[in-house]
Amino acid sequence: MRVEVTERCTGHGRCYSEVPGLFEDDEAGYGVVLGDGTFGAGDIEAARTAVHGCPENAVRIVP
Amino acid sequence: MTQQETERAMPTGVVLATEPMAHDRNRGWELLRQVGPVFQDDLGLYNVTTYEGVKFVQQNPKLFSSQRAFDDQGSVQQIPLAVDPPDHARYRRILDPVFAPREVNKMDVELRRQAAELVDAFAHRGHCDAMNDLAKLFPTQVFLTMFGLPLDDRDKCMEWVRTINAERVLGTDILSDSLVEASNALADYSRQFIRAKREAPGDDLLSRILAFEGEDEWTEDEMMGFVGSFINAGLDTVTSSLGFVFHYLATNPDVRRRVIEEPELVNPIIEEVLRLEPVGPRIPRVTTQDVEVCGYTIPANSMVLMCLGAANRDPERFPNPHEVDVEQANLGHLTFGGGIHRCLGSHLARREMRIVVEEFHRRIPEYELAPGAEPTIKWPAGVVTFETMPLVFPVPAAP
Ligand code: HEM
Ligand code: SF4
Repeated sequence: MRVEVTERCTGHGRCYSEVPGLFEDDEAGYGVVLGDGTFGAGDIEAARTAVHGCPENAVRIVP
Repeated sequence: MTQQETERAMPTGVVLATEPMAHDRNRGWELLRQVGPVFQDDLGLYNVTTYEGVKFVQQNPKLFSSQRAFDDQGSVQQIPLAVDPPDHARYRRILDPVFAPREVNKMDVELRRQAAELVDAFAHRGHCDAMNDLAKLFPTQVFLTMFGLPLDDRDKCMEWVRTINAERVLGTDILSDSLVEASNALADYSRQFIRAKREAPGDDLLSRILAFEGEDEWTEDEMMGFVGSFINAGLDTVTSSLGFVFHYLATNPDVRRRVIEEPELVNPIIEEVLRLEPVGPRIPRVTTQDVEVCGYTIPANSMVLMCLGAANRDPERFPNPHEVDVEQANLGHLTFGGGIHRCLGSHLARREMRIVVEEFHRRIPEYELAPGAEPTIKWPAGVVTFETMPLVFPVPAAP
């Protein structure tokens, strides 16, 4: 599974502040996934935290 | 719009001034929430109170104009606050990198030094006024620092801003003489330093923006509009939020002691206080056409207010809506707005607050409200804030 930041992102920064293991900030303060966003079963809760925490519904988990 | 959709009767004439906001925001916002997802207040303005409703307004800037909502506030257009799409994106493309966390990191050391200096000025006294001795001073210093201006200008800037904010009345065009005078003085001051920086650039944010060329070059009026936005949106907001945080920490000593022992709790506690106390409690827009929100129709050309304090207590989103609960700190409150106008200064504001709380606690870990002090806010207001918050604390032993 993979996390994805969609074009709805407006740079609240909740994903990379709360889940630095899966996201980082770009130079404009918008969220980007680390690497290609792939994560293992152990990180599913972290990924969900990012999904629920994003006020723009910009974080998605894709299979 | 079909007839059917307009059938739900919208509550009207809701009187805001009598809400118990001054003392108890939980009760105040809950009462407003219970009026309904959308209601008309006694000034005829439309209020939206649910999390999803507020997000809908934020995320549809073509239906809900900021330009028309903010254009009564002086002659220069506030940039990017009062700009609608498509122009808005051009400004944010330039400004976002300047206010990104990476830039904020670079200022950390200097801002910490300044916060420490402010706290040191009263730490030996055994008492302070958290608003007047600290929370009001620091954000203005941050503004001056970022713009490469002398810290000596702090007090006069604060006075202009105080006058402007005190005399502005939401939803009306009334401009008092002293408001006009303060606005003009601030505008003259800004115009002067913009010109000075254009001629002799420094290593500051202003000079960085002025250095852009070609289609990214900003006119003097655009620069003025941005300075106006920063001053209007970036000073009182942090001051007031700091007030709410210190009030919470002063009145919840157990939490405060935990925060001091476990420094990683500082951020979640600040987030939760921000959620419960959005200092810009009702953010305005004007509808560009008839539009349906949560099943209610709002006519074209209406003033719509996003009630952030209500949305931030929406039980659909926050399981423990009325309490500071660090478990909820990552659930995405709306105190910094959302959509294209998401607070440009949110990363800076969060850092400012963390720095001030940490530097205060480093010097003054034990404190409480002075006996008899009962900080209250004025309501309704564009920015809600405590004006004063006397604290008392043990004086540290002389070194
Ligand atoms: C805790 C402190 C702060 C709070 C609660 C806050 C809140 C907000 C909110 C709710 C908005 C959205 C307004 C709207 O949708 O119309 C906003 C926008 C804005 N804020 Fe803040 N703010 C804070 C601090 C700051 C700081 C420190 C700055 C400094 C630069 C700043 C600059 C701005 C600007 C320029 C905008 C307009 C953004 C745009 O329209 O694209 N704010 N703020
Ligand atoms: S939390 Fe959402 S809006 Fe914020 S940076 Fe991450 S993806 Fe973007």
